[in-house]
Amino acid sequence: MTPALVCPSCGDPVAEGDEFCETCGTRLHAPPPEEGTCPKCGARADQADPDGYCGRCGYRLARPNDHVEVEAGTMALVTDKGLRHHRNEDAGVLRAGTGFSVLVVCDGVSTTANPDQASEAAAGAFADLVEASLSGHDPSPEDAAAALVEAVAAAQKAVLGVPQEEPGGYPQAPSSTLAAAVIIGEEMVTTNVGDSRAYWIDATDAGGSRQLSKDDSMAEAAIAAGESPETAYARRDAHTITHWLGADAPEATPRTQASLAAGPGFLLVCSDGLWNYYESPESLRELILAGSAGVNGETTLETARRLVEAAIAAGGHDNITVALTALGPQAAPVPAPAPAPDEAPAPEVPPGEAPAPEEAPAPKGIPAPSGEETLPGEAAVEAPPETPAGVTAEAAAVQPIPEPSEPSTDPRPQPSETETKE
Amino acid sequence: MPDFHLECFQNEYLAEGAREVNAVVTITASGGGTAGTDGAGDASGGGSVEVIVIDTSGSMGGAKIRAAREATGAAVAAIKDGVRFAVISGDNTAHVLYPPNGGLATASTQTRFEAQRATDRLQASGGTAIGSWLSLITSIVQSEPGIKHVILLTDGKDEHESPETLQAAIEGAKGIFQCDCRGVGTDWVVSELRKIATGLLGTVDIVADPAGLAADFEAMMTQAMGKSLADVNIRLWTPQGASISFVKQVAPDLLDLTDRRVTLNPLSGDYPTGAWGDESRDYHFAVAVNPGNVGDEMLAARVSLVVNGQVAGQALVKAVWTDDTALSTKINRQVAHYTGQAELADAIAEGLEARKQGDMETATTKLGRAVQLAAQSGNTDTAKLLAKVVDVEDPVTGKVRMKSKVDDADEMTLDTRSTKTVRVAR
Repeated sequence: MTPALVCPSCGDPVAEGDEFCETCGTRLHAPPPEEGTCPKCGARADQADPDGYCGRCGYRLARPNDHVEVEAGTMALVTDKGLRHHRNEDAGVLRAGTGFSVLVVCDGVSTTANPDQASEAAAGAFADLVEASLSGHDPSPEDAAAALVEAVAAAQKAVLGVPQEEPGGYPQAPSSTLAAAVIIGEEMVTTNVGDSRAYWIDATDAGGSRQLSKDDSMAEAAIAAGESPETAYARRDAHTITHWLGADAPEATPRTQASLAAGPGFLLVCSDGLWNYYESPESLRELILAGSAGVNGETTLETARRLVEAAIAAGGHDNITVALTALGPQAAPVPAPAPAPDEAPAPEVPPGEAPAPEEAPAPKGIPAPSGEETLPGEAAVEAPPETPAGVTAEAAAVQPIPEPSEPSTDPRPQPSETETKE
Repeated sequence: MPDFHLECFQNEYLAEGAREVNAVVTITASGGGTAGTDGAGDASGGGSVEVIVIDTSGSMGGAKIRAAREATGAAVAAIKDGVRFAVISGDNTAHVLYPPNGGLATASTQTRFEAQRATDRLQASGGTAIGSWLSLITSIVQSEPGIKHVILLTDGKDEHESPETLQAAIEGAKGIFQCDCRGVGTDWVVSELRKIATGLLGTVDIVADPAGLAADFEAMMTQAMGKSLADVNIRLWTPQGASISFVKQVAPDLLDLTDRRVTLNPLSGDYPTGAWGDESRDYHFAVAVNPGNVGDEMLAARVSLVVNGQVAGQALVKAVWTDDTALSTKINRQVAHYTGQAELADAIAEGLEARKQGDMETATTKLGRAVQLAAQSGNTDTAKLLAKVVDVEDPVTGKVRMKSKVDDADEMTLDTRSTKTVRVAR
């Protein structure tokens, strides 16, 4: 039985051999669209109108931010509109400063006016403020935590500056989520508003990966009120966010969290377009390491791109933004000779009791990432970090967050063994 | 030339498979001049023409013809220097009362005075054949440049010619002049004058009491003098495969423009909007497009305002397909409001028709719905007119009782003004 033929444009039945659809006039059996032609109807690029639509079928032609890839220092960022949203309302910024790096991901709230502008304004203002306040001196993790708090305020202010009305759009005030991390040596200081996330992905210790951010969502609120995570995430409003940036945002003091990159691994900052498909740190770790990240020469950008592609392959329902940086020796483009493990004793930290930031071990031998010369791989060769995985240092203005895991007692593997460890 | 600003109100989000796109576009003109004050005319290169045509059939005798003379005098007084004008007397046929040799006069202190003197010669005798009046006006003004505006007054039914003759005269006048129609008393037929007014991009209203005529004429003429741009068109582009469900002016009153389309090419057509002064109007566009996939965005319509062949402004109507029902199920406030105003006008028309036919059950239901819609949308003028035809028990639920006795003037006023809309409270 031959399946009924339908017009790819309007869906009405067409007869085999028809050159044009009788209903809508679309050319059938058209050759695949050429570069610069309308992907929907094949109209020539010169038929596009000045507003970015096909002059024949009205289809929206590609926007510049539909897919963007950025590299800065050792960091990479890939953002994509995905498959089911008409525009990319995510935005992200990377900044490689002297002695620090900044990764920011913002996700504009679709049901508000100009969410794409809101996320872009928030990410830019946030990164600008962090960069300005950490530049020109040797910033400490405490400086970073203070800068993040100020930067959230700057991002909020920037969102207030976005046009509050969108022609044909939603009447609610422009709104965005935000997740960001500042890296100083091995210190990862993070903050978030809403449900964009930051993860530490431990390359060597399967149990050492964890989510650094905490969603401002109904699900998390339910968990805080005593519901089990299973019940909480089954709620209809589980993904409804309880905090955001925007004119109608509830007042809140931003949380910051300082964590130590306890070994070779990745800091991932992402929008829910990724974590809706890869929620657990374990699944993200598996995904990141599946591509021989760092070891066989996959660059951080290639890894980030692969994460985005995985989210698209899983359905690509939302916009997807991945900001990624490799920390530790596995990031070397060419595997470095295995260093002798440093026998210096790690500070004893009982689970659940975080040391004050000033008591945290100072990063050893790793030059701070910067735009020009930093190669974490090279640095790590000299002295792999020694702090037990999972140690969390609370920075100023921090709400307590439960310790996610026991300190690992596994011996640290050689960097070159990262891939084969499992 | 005034500046035009177009603002689009819509919910661009559609559910998967949906194809109907609705948008309300507000068009605001500002900073324009006024009708020619020195004979040189407006910036569009034309002058300005005013014609007043007065029904002089036998039924106009007495108070009505006296009021008509006074009103014509007041309207003539409001004509600005340089404007070309005429006063016409209409019964079974039409003839130019002023200027004395036919054609058009150029407004000045002298000609206005002469015209006012001439109006005293308006005499009520004979029948009513409105089509013949329109045809005479067409022949006089069609070669004149600029904005051409007619004020037409009648008091009775168009009974001395066939409906076909009237219709042909309307068709012949389309695009030549605009015509504001006034019915004095209660013996004229609302649907007849509405047909002329909608066909010729004008207004229709009732002046139940002849004493109110002079003020009304003066106001109409003053407003006409404020128009500076003739031949403003809405140009609508829609994508291949789209069909236009309707194009309506929805404020300040309802006017269906769907059938006025002048096709330019398979994707574009023009809709005439008449002359513009400093004013703001709302238009409702409904377009059915080929459904896209979830995540697709389409330009469903491009609304351009074309003045003398130049695009003076535009708005984009979009369609975005989403599987997020929170987005696709919302109805834009403006679209909902004007959908309600159109339903209100329909409910009044159907309710009054049912009442005429003696179907009181349908009349009660329809007028009850109208009461409800008028209350919901804040259309207090229409609500007041409805309350003269029905006893309102509860405006929220639309519970009404038909009044046992309704004044003819009240019923005709409701009928005539049922297309007046209110705008969305911002």
